[in-house]
Amino acid sequence: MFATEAVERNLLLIALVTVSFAIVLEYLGRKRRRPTSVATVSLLVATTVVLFCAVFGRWLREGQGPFLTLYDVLLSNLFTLNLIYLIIYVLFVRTRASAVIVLPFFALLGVWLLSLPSVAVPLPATFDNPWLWMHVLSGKLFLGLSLVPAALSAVLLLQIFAARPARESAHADAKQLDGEIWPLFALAFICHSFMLIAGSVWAHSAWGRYWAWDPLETWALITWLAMALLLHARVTYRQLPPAIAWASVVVIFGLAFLTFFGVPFVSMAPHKGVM
Amino acid sequence: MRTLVVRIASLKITLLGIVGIIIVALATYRNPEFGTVWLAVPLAVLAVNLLAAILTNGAFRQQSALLVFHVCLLAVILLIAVGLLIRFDGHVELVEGEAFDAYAVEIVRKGALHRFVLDKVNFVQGRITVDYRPGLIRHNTRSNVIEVGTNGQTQEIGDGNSVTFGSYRFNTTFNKGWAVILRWSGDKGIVQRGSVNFPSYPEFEWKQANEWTTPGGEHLALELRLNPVPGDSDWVLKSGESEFSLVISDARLDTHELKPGQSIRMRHGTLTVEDLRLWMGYRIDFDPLLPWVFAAAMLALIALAVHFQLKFRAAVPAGRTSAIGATYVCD
Repeated sequence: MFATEAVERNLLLIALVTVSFAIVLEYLGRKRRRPTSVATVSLLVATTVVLFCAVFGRWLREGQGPFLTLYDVLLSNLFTLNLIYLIIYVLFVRTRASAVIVLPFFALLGVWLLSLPSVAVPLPATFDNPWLWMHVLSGKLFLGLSLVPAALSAVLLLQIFAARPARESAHADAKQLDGEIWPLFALAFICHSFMLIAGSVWAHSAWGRYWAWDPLETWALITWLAMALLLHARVTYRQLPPAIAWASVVVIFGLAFLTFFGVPFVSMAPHKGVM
Repeated sequence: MRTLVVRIASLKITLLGIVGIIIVALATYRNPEFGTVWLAVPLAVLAVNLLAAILTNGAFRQQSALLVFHVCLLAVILLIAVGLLIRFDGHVELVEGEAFDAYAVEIVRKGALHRFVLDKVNFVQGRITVDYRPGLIRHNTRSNVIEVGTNGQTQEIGDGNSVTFGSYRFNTTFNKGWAVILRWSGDKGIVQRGSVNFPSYPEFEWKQANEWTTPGGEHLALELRLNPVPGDSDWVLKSGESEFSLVISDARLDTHELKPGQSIRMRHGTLTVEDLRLWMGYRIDFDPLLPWVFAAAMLALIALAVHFQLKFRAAVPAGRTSAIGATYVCD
């Protein structure tokens, strides 16, 4: 009764409404220079709970985790992205500037999700392995942790393009926001590294090979290399213009996003080649 | 000499090496055959660069976690390189009741330094069962193998459950099907028994056909006729329960349908259809260094996490509440 497809769809609609409210609140709050964090946190909690119910209900109905189709991957990631963002939003006050980018991004993902066919594909027996869980969970952590640096970088780039007057305080704000970007980016890099390791062990255990250059593996490696390149470039060129570093963070998130949602969209199932 | 090593340790070479791997990865995405060989070039550059950096860069002596991370990274590169030289990768199809024959293995990849001892592996293929759910969704695969010389000890190979014989790992694959057991009684009194494997089943249920030349030199087209697969209910693929017949066509286009136990007289001998069994396709791989690669990679990851933690903690300005919200300076 609880886990029907209609209930799941309604839950997604409710989540979309709560995120939309949060977007309006954030914009109004910024316009009137009034803090809206309590209301935003409440709406984010509501969205996360509703998405959890949608994922849980689908899990009960299908008897398997949301791992395979683009719909499954998007639904579960929307939930984990919300949850991770909620935690970061509550714990790290300065990252809240990212809400103007992150919340509309969630809304877009929600609209995209609602437009997708929700038919489940059975999980092949070879996929069912504890390393699958570690691979998927570290992947979700990576995406959630890299979203905030990307959003903060986008905010800083928008400030540059908007050519705001170069106030002293604006520079200080930018420096503080920049200070939030790199620890989260580094943490995301660690999660990505573990995702690759766990994925290799999973693939080796399931199919007898740890690497096969399938599209998902290749793009995940390219994303990891791009992150390593940026971390090294910041050491090599200490005077690396901040705008280039921020743009790189946004591009890397774009790469990660394409890896998660673009490649499965083309092949319709992650690691389809080995099924 | 030291100046040269310092130059080789340049971070700019590191960046070039990483860009090189990205280019190879992109090229491999376009053409999967491209990967492994060309990847060796940027990886070798990075390995030499990393080794030089570990020897000369003072930052490594001051930051032990960073040093451990980079040493482990170097170890991963070297272990994978050695692994590629000694690895073995192959496929084999085994029919129920058939003994494993190392020389029937189709070699996919064999490292230049691989010492072939697969012929020491000695087992017989036991019973194969594959569970299907409604809609012909493949579920569990179970393939029993009986080790020779161990009092008939049986091991089960299945999904995510490989069996290792002498460092060679055997994995079942999705590739499996029917094999018809034939007996050839030659006119000179020689009797031979063997099997003809048909295409993967039930994937190619619609074309269960193959060709075979008898020991007497007669070329035959074989077609296996089976009951249809029940697609709308649970089903188990296993031998001994399927009714079948074998349709044999010779060069003169004479066609005969034989049931189990029936024979047909041919030029230079008699052919008898004996039985129908399952064959299983195995993937065999040998890379004994992989556990060490895993250990080195995990150690690298832990060291990197410790390094970042120390960096961020050191960079937290006074009065700051956030534990990790400091400007990151990686050096």
